[in-house]
Amino acid sequence: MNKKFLFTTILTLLLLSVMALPALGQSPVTAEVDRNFLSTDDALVLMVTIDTGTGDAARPTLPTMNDFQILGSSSGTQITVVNGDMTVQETYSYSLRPLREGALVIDPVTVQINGQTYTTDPITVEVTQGTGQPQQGGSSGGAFPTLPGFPNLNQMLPNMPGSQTQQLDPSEMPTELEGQDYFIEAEVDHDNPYQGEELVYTFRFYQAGSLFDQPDYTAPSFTGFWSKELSDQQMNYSTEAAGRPYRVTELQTILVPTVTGEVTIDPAQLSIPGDFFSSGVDLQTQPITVSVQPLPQNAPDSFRGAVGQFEISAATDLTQAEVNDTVTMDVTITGTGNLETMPDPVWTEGPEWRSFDSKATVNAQFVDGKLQGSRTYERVLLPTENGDLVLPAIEFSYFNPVTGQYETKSTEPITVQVTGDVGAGASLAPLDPGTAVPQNAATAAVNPVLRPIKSSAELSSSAASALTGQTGYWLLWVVPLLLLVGHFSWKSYQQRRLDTADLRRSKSAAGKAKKALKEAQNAGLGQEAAGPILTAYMEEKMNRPVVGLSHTQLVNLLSANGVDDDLSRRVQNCLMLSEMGRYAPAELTLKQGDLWSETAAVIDALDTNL
Amino acid sequence: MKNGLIIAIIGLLMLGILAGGIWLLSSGETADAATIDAANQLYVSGHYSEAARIYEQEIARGVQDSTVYFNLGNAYFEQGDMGRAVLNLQRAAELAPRDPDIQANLELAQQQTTELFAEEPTGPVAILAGLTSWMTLNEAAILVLALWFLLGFFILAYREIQGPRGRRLAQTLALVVLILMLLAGVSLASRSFLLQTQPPGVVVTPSVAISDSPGASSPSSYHLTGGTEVKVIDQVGDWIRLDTPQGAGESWVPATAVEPIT
Repeated sequence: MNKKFLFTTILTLLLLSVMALPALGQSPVTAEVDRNFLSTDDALVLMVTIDTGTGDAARPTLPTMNDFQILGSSSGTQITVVNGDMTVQETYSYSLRPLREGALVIDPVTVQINGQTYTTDPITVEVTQGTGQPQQGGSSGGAFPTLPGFPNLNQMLPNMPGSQTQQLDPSEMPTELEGQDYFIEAEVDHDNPYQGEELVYTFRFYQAGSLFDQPDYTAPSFTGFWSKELSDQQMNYSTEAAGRPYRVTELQTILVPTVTGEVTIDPAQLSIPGDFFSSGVDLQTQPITVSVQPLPQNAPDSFRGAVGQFEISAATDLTQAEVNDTVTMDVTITGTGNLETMPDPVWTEGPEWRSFDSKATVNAQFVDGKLQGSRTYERVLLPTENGDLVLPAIEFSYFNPVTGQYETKSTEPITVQVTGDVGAGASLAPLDPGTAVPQNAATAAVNPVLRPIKSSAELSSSAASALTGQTGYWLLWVVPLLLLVGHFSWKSYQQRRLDTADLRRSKSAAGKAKKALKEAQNAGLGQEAAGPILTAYMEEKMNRPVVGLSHTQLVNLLSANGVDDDLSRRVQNCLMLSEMGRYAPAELTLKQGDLWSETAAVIDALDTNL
Repeated sequence: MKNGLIIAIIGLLMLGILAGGIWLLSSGETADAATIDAANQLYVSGHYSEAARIYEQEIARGVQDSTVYFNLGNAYFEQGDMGRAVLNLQRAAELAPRDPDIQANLELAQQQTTELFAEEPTGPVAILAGLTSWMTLNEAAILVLALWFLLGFFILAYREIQGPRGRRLAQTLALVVLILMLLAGVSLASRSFLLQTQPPGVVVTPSVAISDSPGASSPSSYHLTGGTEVKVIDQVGDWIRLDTPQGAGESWVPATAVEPIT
C-alpha cells in the first residue's frame, strides 16, 4: 500500500474522530431561559428540550425552586423524518417568577432516557427589585412569550396570563392525585341539606399533560335536583402536587334538592381526546350521595316553599287612580336562597281589585357559594270600586336552614285613593257583536288606519289542533262506507228472502193443485173446475198472473219457462176442455175421466219442466 | 213512497252524524269574555304590554280564537314589535281568512317589514293548494268530508230510486260531487304538504343575521328584520334553514329568531 495514502487515511480518521467527540459527548437534554435579566415583576420561561429518536424519555424532574414561583407549564412534541429516520424533540416549558432580587440559580433539570439519567447545566439569572406590579402579557408578565419554532404557549394555555399559583393545603389535595397527567374530582359543599336548600356542586379537572384538543365534559343528570351551571364562574388556577405542576379548571353548579331522602349524584365524565401518538383518556368522578332532610312539619299557612333568608317589600306606581285605571304593584323578595325556584307568594287583594298574573323577574348572583339577589313580581291591578282602597299586607314565609325555623315577613299595606264612576265598569261588559272597541285617541293619531281591536262579543272557538290530525275526523270517513255496505247487505238479504219464499211456493204448487183436483172430484164438481186449478198452479209455479193471457201469450210464457210445444198444447187442451165444460157440460161428460187425469198428468209434467 | 222515506231517513241520519261529529271535533277552549274585556280595557288605556300578556295567557290555555290573535297582534303593533305583530295577525288570518279587519291590519304590519323572504311556491301543488286558500284548513277538511257524505248519499239514493229519471239524476249528482270532492281533497292535501315541508314562520327578533351554514362562526352576509315572513325547510340543532330566493345560497338563522305561524 502506498504510504502516502495510508498517512492521509489515518489523518482523516483522526480528524473525524476529533470532530465527532463533541457530538458523542452532547447531552440529548438541554435547558435554557428566554431571558437572563429581569425584575421581580417579570416572569421568564425555562425550556427543557429532549432529543430522542424513540420518544421514550420520561418527563423532566424539576429541581427544588426556592427562589422561583412556578406559574404554569406546558409541553410540545416536534417530529422530524429525514430519509426514513425519525427524530423526536420534546419541549417542556415552565413559567417562573423570581421571588427575590439577586443572582438566582436554576439548578440542573434531570431527565431519564432509556434508563440513563441526563442533567442540564445550571442557569443563572440576574433579578432586580420590581415595583410590586406583576406585568400582564408579553415577555414581562404572566403570558408566555412567543418563540419562533416553538408552539404558541399562550394559545395552548389561554387563561394562563394573570393566573396565580395556588399552593393548596395538603389536606385539601385529593389523595388520588399522585402525579398522573389528568385527574378529575367532584364534591358538594354540604351533603345534608334541607329540601329546597341550595348546595354547590364543584367539578375540578387537574391537567399536567398537554391537550391535543378540547376535552368533552358530560355533567351528571342531577336527578332529584333543580340545577343551574355557573358557566360564567369557571375558575382556572395552577397548583402543584407530587412534584408536578397542574393547571386546574373548576366548574360549579347550584343544586336545589326537590326530593327528600338519600339522593345520589351520578359521576361526571370527561373525555380527553388522544393525539397522533397516544390514545384518548376517559375519566369519571365518584358518585356523591346527599341526604336531603324534609322540612319541619309546622309550616305557617303562607309558606309556599321558599328556603333561605329573605326580606319582602311592595310598592305601587300610583297612590291615586280612577276606577278601571291600572295600578302596577311591584313586590320584591330579596335575600339568599332558592330565588330561581321558589313558588309565588299568596296574593291577598280583595274583591275590589281585579288582578292579572305577572311573571317573576329574577336578578341574582352567585356570591360566596350562595345565590343572592332579588325576585320581583309586577302585578297589574284594576280597582273596580271607588274610595280609599287598601292593598293588604302580603305575608311571606320561608324556612331558614341556618336557624332551622320557619320565619315570616310582611309588607306594609298600601292605600290607593280611587275616584271615578263605578258605572264605568260597564265598559268591561261585552259589546254588541260587530261593535268595534273604540281606539285610544293617542293611538288613533299615530295609526289612523289601524283597525281597532275586537270586542269579546266576537269571540269564537276553534279546535286546538287541525281536524285532519284527529282520529275522530278519519273515523267519520268510515260512516258513509258503513252505510253503503249496510244498505247493500240489507238489500241482498231481502232478495234472498223473496227468492226463498218463491221457491217454497213453487215447490208446494203441484201438491196443492193435485189436492185441489181430488177435492173437486170428491165434491162432485164438474170438470170445468180443472181449468182454474191448472191456472192457479201455473201462477204459483211461475210466480206471475196467468189469468187473462191469450192462448198465444200463454204458449209464449210456457215456452220462455222451458216448456216444450207438446206440453204447451196439452195445457191449452185442458184449459179449452174446462172452458167447454162451463158452457157445454154435456159434451165434456163424455170425456170426464180423461180431463181429471190429464190435468194431473199435465201438472206433473209442468212441475218437472218449470 | 216507501223508497222516498228510506232515502229521507238515510239523508237525515248522515246529516246528523256529520254535523254531530264535526261539532264535537271542532270544540275547543273558549276565551273568557270577561278576561278579554279587561285586556281590551288595558289596551284602550294604553297598557299594551299588559294587554298582550293577558291575551298570551289565554292562548297558553289552549284558546285558538282569531279575535284574541287579532287583538294580540294589534297590541304588539302598538308597541312597535313588528315581528310579533305580523306573527299574531297571520295566526288570526289562518283562523279567519275572510276577515277584512285582519287582512287590513296584517297588510299594514307587513308594509313595515320585508314581506316575504322566499319565493312564492309555484307548480301544480301550489295551484291546487290555492283552490281552498279562501277557507281555513279545518273548513277545507269539513268540506271534503261533507262532499264524501253527499257522495255516499247519492249512491244510496241511486240504489233506492226506482224510476229511470230519478236514477239518472242521482247518478249525475254523484259524479259532480265526486269531482268536487277529489278537487277539494287534493287541494287540502297540497296545503297540508306545503305546511309540512315548508312551514311558514315569522322573524320575531328585531334583526337576525343570516349565515351560510349553521353556527355563529359563519360569516353573516344579510340581515332580516322583525316581521319578515319566512319558510323553514330544515333544522340542525339550534339552527334552522330558510327557503331562500333563487340563487341566494343557503340561509341559516338561530331557531329562536323565528316562530312558526301554525
